[in-house]
Amino acid sequence: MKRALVVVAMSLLAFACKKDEPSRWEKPAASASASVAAPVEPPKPVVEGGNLNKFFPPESADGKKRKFTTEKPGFVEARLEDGGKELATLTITDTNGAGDAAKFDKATEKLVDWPLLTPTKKQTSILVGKRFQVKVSSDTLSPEERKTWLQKFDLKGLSAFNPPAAK
Amino acid sequence: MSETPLYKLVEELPSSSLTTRCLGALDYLVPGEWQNVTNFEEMIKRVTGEDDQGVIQQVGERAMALYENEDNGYQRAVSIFKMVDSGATLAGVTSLAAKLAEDVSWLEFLGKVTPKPETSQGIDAALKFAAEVGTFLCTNGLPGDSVGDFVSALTTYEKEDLMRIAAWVSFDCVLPLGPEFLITVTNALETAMDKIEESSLYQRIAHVLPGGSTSEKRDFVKSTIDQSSGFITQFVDSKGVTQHGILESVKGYLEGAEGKLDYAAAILDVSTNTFEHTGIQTVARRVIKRAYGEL
Repeated sequence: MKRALVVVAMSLLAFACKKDEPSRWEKPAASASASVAAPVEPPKPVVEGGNLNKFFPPESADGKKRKFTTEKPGFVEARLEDGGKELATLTITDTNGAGDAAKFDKATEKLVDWPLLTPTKKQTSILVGKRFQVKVSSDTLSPEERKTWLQKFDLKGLSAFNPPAAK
Repeated sequence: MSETPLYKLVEELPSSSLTTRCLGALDYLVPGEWQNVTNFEEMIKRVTGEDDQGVIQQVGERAMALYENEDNGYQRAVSIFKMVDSGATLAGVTSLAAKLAEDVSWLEFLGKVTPKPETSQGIDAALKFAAEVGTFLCTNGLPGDSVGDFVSALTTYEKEDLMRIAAWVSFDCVLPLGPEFLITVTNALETAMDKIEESSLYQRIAHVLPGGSTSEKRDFVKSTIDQSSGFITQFVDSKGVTQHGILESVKGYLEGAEGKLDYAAAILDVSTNTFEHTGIQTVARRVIKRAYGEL
């Protein structure tokens, strides 16, 4: 009985200590809020999301269905479906908005002419026209299959695209 | 700048409350779709399927930065979800919710709630649905024929989005208005403008509805209901949503509500915040998904 009480007391103590630990998200939240309040650089103009739709793979490429799910300034996302189930997420990001095209400087691989990164084990992305990040994320597609899907985008068109800025 | 950072919004959601229990009771309509995720890291893991802590940290940081930027519309979506549910002005509603959570029979609170007349209930149900469209546009964009885009997106609703729709259909429509609720809602919107303006929900959300005058705003609401009616009818029919079924599922919290469906609906209305709760989860999911796409 006594022993059980000690165990309970110790676990309560552990719980209490855990509670006092600052969240891993606290610091990044504060810096996110500070950088919005006082941006380091003036933001570059970003493209209206809808202008990027035409560079996505066609609506039914390879027997798969492509549905647009998000269309925001500088970011468009589409869901690729196979028989109603999600096969992959396709995205184009205007790095003017995200401000991180430089991450492709360390790319050691290329897809045709475009620097290629594998940011996570489920994602493959390329930088097109030094500005647009095109990405395929999927739980099921292999890295090679993701590259194949990247090539179904109109990459040539996108690399020559010089869009008007979003309002 | 936001009042509350994204991670905190998620982590301050109750893991168990009358709202979560009532939502849980609707699982039979949308089996397995909704999990009450109230931990930011867990949400990131579920949305991305990633377990690498480095990736999780990057996604979380980026998501919070996206959320902080007001221009992205995510904060606005959260504020609309909150506005929809902030009508709990009933005196003593907190204690009511607390007592209900203790499974005390709700009958003793009968005197404290007044069921809305059918027209008011119909108007409010329609307004809530229009607010859903507003939050969808804030989080997902999709300009152009916005209502049409929303309607086609409705068919792909899942997880907390689908649970919110299930709760709306159940608690705001079928339970108080019965199986013919769409007719009641549509008729209610044809009513005099001052009836719409009387609604406290309308007063809270009017400024986010498109259009200048009440009649223009009414037309927008009407058009969202009209265009979505196929989906709504199909949802009710295919899931078999009935007053009896809903009451059976929540009767643990509304003991003795048989025969007093309008009271049951009124009590649920003032003591739960299903839009706000699932809405915060929806916005977090959307922002995390985008952060993952931008990584």
